[in-house]
Amino acid sequence: MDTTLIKIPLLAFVCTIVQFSFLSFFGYFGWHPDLLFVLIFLFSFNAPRESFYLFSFWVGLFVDLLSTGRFGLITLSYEVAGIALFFYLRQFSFGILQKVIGFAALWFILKVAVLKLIGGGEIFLTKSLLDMLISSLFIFPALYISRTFFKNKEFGTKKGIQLKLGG
Amino acid sequence: MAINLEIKYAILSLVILVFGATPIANIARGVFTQISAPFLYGFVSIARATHNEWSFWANLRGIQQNNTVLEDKVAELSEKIVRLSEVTNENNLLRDGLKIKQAVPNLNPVLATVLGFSGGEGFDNGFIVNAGADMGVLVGDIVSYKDIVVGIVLEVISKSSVIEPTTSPNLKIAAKIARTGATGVVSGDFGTQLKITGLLPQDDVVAGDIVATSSLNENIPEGLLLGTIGNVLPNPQAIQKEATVKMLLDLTKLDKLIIWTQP
Repeated sequence: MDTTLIKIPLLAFVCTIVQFSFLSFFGYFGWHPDLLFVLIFLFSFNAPRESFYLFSFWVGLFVDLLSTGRFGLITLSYEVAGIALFFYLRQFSFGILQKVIGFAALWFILKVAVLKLIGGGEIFLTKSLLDMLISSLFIFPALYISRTFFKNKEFGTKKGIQLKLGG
Repeated sequence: MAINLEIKYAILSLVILVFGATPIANIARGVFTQISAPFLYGFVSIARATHNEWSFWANLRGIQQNNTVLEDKVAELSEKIVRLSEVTNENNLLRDGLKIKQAVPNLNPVLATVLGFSGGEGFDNGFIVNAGADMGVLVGDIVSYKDIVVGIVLEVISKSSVIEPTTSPNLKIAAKIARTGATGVVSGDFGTQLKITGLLPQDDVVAGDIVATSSLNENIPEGLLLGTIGNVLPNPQAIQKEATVKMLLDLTKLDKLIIWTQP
């Protein structure tokens, strides 16, 4: 049995729980660090395509399950944003700064687009943008940590759907 | 096919979205909440403890600064309280001393602070006070605490005076028993207490009788308190009767006094 299919949802579950419980206590003036955003960015660098989509899907689903509002909307927004970002990061050979900026911008635009167009709900654009920009800053230390401490630590066994935490 | 994977996950997401429109979605949410509740609670507990600890250390400097400010304020307020207390005591002392002013309107009260204690011939608990000739104090002026006689000014220099207390055997004050009007002379006895002598054998004197100054004194107004009768000394053969007089004050504890100066 391929344990990766269990490990990736488990990782997504733990990350979502941590985001919804632990990190809620460490906000600053209404802003909370977005661990899920940072992790999706990290995995988008090295993870195989399917693993990355699977992770985005499960994270979106767990966020949906723990949130109110229209069920499935966040799953779709995470998946659409994930697919677009994966192509963006893999197709273009930008520097890290451009990648982070582009990633944050794409993530923001796609998430808002899906939530707004399909969900039709009210989106606080300024706050969402600010959240995204501040969370982007956490990518750099996270990237450094992952490359320093998790170099070549593969998350998964099956070739093709494993998650590499560090490059 | 590479594109198939993207389509597969996009369709999967859309299926979830469609599934969300059914009532089963709410059931799924409820079940998931039940499953994740212990994990959420566990992380929240850890986060709360960590956050409290973090807040404590983050606010430590602020707390320290606040503490310093509060300490300064406490010191300032304590100083004010002490000053107010002193002023209140002085006011009470002067108000209670008004009885003397009413009895002898021409005497003027001078508030004096006890600076220390002085010995003299036959007494060892006289007072040194901070009022002297500059404030009109003269030798022989009466000194009181409220309407209780404390002593007589013995020596005067410019800025201070020495007061001979009523416990001094040298000081003799004409007194009377307030209840009966029997007269005698009050003086110090061994420098620590008072006694009244010169009472007639037939005078009705019992323990607890109030002893006050009589009108026979030259500089001391009538009716000021000296003490209360303690023991009537039994001496059937004596021509005159004696009794101990209990002090109404512990002279060593006085810090403010009123000197009644002559105009």
